Amino acid sequence: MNTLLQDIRYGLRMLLKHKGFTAVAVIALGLGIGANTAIFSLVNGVLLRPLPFPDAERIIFFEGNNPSSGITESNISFLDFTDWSQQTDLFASTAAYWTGNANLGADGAEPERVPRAGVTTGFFSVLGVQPVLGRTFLPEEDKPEAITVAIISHGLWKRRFGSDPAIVGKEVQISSRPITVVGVMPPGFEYPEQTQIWVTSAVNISDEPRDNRAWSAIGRLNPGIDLKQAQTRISAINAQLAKQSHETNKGWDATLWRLHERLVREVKPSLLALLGAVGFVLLIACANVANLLLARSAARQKEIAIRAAMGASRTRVLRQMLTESILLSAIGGMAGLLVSIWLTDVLTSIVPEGAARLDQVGIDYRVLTFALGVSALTGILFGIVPALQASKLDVTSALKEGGRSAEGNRRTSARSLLLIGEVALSLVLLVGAGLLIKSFLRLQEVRPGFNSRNVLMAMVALPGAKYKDQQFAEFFRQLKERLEAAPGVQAVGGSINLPLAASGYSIGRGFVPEGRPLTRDESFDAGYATITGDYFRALQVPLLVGRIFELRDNAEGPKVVIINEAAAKRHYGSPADAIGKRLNMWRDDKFPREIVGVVGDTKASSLTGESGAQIYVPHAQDPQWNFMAMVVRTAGDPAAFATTFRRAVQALDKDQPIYNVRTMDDVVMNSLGTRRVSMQLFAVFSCAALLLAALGIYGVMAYSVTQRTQEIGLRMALGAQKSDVLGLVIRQGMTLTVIGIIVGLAGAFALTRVIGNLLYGVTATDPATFVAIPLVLLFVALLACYLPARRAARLDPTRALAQS
Amino acid sequence: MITLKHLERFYPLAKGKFFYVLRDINLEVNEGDFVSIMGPSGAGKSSLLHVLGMHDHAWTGEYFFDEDPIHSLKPKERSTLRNEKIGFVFQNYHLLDDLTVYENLDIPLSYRHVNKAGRDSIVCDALDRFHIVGKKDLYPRQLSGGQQQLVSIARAMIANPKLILADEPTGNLHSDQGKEIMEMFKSLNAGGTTIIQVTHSDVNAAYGNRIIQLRDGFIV
Repeated sequence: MNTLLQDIRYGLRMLLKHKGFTAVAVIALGLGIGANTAIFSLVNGVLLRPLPFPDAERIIFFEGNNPSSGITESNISFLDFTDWSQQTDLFASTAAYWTGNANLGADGAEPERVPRAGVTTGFFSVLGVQPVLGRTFLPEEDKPEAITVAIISHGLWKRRFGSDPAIVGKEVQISSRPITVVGVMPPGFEYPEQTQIWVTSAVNISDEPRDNRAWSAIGRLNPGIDLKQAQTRISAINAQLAKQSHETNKGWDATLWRLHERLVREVKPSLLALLGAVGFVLLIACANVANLLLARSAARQKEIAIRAAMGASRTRVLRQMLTESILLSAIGGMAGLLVSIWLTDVLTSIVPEGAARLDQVGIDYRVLTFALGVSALTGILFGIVPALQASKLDVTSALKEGGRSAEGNRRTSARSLLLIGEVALSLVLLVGAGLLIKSFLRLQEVRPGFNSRNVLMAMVALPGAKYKDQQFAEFFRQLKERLEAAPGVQAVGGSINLPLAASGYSIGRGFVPEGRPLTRDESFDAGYATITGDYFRALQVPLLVGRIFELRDNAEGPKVVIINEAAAKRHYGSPADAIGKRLNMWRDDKFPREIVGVVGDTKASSLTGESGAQIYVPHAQDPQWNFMAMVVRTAGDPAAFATTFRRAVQALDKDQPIYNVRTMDDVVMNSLGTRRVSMQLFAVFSCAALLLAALGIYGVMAYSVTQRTQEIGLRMALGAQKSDVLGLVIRQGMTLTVIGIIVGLAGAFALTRVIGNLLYGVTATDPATFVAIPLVLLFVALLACYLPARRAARLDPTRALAQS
Repeated sequence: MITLKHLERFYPLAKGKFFYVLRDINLEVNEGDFVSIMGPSGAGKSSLLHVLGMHDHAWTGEYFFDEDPIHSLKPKERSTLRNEKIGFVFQNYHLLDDLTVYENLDIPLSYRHVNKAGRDSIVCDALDRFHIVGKKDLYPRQLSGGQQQLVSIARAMIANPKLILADEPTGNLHSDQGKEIMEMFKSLNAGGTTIIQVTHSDVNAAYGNRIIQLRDGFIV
């Protein structure tokens, strides 16, 4: 112990003495460890930290699928869910729920729209969470189509109700209905989707269609039941249901996910790829520091020889050297922790909105342990080669002044190997980043089918307790008029269903050309949107043929519809042939609608997805929709129009909030979501890797030139020209680089497949990327070699020989 | 104390040839001897010293130290024996630049696993004995050449070795300092320590009781 303290003391003194070396190493390690810790804190918060529910691994999520129709991620049917729950003893409890929003207002405060969930009574028992105030729902409170009680989140209780201890039993206005608060949930509990208000499901089982797959469901497995067993039983029930209710259940099954897995599955591949990428950066930083240490151990050869001559065993020399490198990495680790705190904030601010479990990201014991472990491992990793080299020193040669030994050659080989490793790792990262950047550029080339510039979107949902059918349509008509009257407004429209899933709502309808039987056929499915105002003009969706909706397309007018190009081509061959044709919509409309126009396709859910068939209906002819995602095209900055928008709504109804207010440019940017962030981070990491590799190449070559000063002087004295010396040094560096590139290409072929699912329009083995990236690396390496080579070429042979 | 029989040290050359630096060395050194090894440059003086000091293991022949057959010991056993019995003094002093005088004296003891209290006591004794108490917190660069060599001798003696190997200990010192150092060796020898030095100086060799001449790797 005492000798260890002595090693630490001497180690610290060495680091303080060589401040330049220490600073460079600490910066490289601090950035490397910091970036790793920051990404790990994301991985920890999102993937590793268990859900904050007791026995959370027993909580499962039901996800509908119908492989024969190509549907992989669907909500589920309430009636199917009831069968799963009642026909098995798999679950301790189950719950179904829907999600939506509710207006809070009419109490004098600013009206606001908050996320709301309608849940069956087993909901809180599945999650194992109890309210901090009041109680959960009683079975008799879940009445069909009637909501009378609510439970609120801790956050909402604090913010909106001033932490009123007597809130339980009080009546509050939720979406213009008097609702009694029966409980307040504990802090942080906001499942699902940042819910602030939980109400009863209000399901009306007697009227509930079996094919209404608008529900979500969760369950708590009984002890001793594993996921596989449960999956088998549920699939068996689904097979039975498909036979019994062929029309509604043909091909339908449900996948059981652990709730945690289901919540994070979208981001998991990106996070793991990023963790790998940032790990590479750290490895490259380690190789650089190891190279620095090797160069320094050459200078310390005499010191180590003296220690050995004084009786230091090989282990003791190894320990001394490793102590120094671990001290260095510990300081780097502390710097890294500071970097990671800052970087974690940056990362959480750039990840796409709504990313799962982001609230769980932070520095906890696991992150600290990771930082500590990475620091220690890093210290050993970059210290071991120089330490082993030092401990193998030939004492006799080292103690002879000017003595030559094999140490120099061994050290040079180790440095060369490290350099090859650095180049190879950098190439893998650069290829990964190149592929992501190329796929991001491809994504940006994808036209969403509308012009997002200068458009503001905002959602308005009218409470059913205050408005009915035509009142909805009238409200939005008046709102359109008010907004159009505002200065700088060019067009105003609205839809229940905006492109790129911007309104958070989508619905499909069966497209049944006239003359066909009005029955369900998935191949005729189309996206459905009820629209108001100058929707197409506001988004600049081109009218291909026919006309857009006009005032005459009201409740009394002939029933009309506009379809998109994809629907027209699919059902009628061309847009022109669709005009004047009539269609039915399974199963809502019991009358045909005439196609009056065909518009261009828009991307429904994402830029990478298909446009698909789309049907547009005027709000006046389908007035059941109480909400609209309004879009306003402005002459100037659309974001600045939000206040005017809010005022226009409140001029019509002072208690009416607006929500989901953002520009359509933001919608497009956010739809690139995880890909954008992954691409940006990969690009940053690969640039860091390239820089570190360039520094590594420069360092090795500069050191080599110093070591070969005498040889170079001699060559020049014997007649070598400057170009010969330049060539000599550059050839040495580029040979190592080329070997590194070959190794890296092999690694990249193997590893880029990991990010295959993050790519769009580019294969993981894209030939252009695999050619361009090595060329970039070769160019950078050439620059890094050129500087020491130029120094070598400028050597004065007389001095070089005299120095030796 | 030391017996060398047919000891040879060579470096392999190309085509199966060898370059010999020590050839057929047969030597007896008794306890209490003060031996001077002399000879021209390249004669093998330093090589012989490093073989005797067990830093160099690449030799053939037989080497006995206090009856222990060094030639059949493993490197680790040799280094244990070396730590117990041999101290070194170099021409260039070879003090550790980043350690103070005190720490330079302390480090060999630390490598011999002496506990802290024991080390403190031994180092303080050595500082007293070599009259360098006032220099204990100085770094080598703050000392004159003679003072550095004095510290180097103190360090060699710190673990109380039976044998001191000195490689041209006065080579870098002017004559007064050199004389002082040689007197120190003489007094250590008088106290019972066996000394083997490599030297070019007849004057310094005269401090010893025996001279060995080396030429082209042979004892002549």
